[in-house]
Amino acid sequence: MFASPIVDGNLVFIGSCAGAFYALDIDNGTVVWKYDITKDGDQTSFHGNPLLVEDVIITGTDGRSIGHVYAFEKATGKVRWKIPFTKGVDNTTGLPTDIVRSDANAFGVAFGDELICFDWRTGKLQWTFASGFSKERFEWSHSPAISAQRVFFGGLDGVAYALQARTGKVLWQRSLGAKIMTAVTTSGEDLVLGTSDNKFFRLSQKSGEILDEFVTSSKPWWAFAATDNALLLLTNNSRAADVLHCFDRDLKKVLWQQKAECEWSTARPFVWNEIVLAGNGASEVYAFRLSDGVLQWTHQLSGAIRSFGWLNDLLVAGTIEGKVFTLAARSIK
Amino acid sequence: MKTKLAATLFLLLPFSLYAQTSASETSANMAQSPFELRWQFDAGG
Repeated sequence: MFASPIVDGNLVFIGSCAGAFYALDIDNGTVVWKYDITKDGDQTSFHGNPLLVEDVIITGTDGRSIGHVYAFEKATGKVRWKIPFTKGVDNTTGLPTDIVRSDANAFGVAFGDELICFDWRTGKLQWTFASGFSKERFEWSHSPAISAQRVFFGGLDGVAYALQARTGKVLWQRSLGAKIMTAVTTSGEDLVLGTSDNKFFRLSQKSGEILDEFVTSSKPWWAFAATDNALLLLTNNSRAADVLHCFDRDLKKVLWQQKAECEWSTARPFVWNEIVLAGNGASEVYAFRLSDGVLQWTHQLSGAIRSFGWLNDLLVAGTIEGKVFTLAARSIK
Repeated sequence: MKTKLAATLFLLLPFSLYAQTSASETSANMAQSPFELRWQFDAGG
């Protein structure tokens, strides 16, 4: 499992990389409904986080010869609509990113580095925009971000783009000199992202002007978590996520760092109640205080911990092996 | 030589401005997890 568990009402939604999407009862983990995506073709995986809007949950899938964006009715799992994707790169096709929304439109990035805009109510494609990525070999595309009727997209061609959300018109583009390795994240009126030459950038949302640049010793990995005062990200050294960084919002300084003893296995840090959570390949959840990075507690699970979700005092963790754990605050005796 | 040393120290400076701790180094003071398992589910992958 790669995508984050999403909790809504009394349901936990999970996309399993064994080819099924589930809605589980938050109280006991029983299956409320399940959709088998393998019946729609050679596809097995969910890599991006879904979008919840009104009575549907919208998520992307990927596979060898086909992938889709599905809109499931939250209560029943009935497919409201689906968009198929059959063009990919190196035997991989589909849409592996988070789905984000601006008014009537929703957005994701398909393999091949193509930004897709569709009507979230009907699934009707509105426009697409391809970066200058060569498509000569497989690369992960990264999630877009939305702000003020604009959609931002970090291309595998090393260019950050801002497009008008409604029309797809390019408002600005900024070459950053190396492949963009993270989701574009909004931070106040700025954007932050990381590139394959170990740099982090803060850009103006309005113009794309580079406001700050920060160099680290390892590669940015997957996606930032943004809080009021901090930006958190994992970096990846020799194919293993090794350091959890906490930066100030201007990307001018590192507030604290935590180096993993066993590689971090979470795709993105998770911030919850002034605590930052990261999981590792030894099945341990680490909880650090957001303000200073001091370790607060650990919790042993089973499997490489990939993602987190929450509802009130419940914490949901998913593992690469496909297990979901729901943890509740201990009762005080 | 002095110039080279100064340049080296300058390059190293940003890394000395913050402490990089290992998760295990701070574990001596950590508290028990405030959570207990309510349920688990195996989606198979």
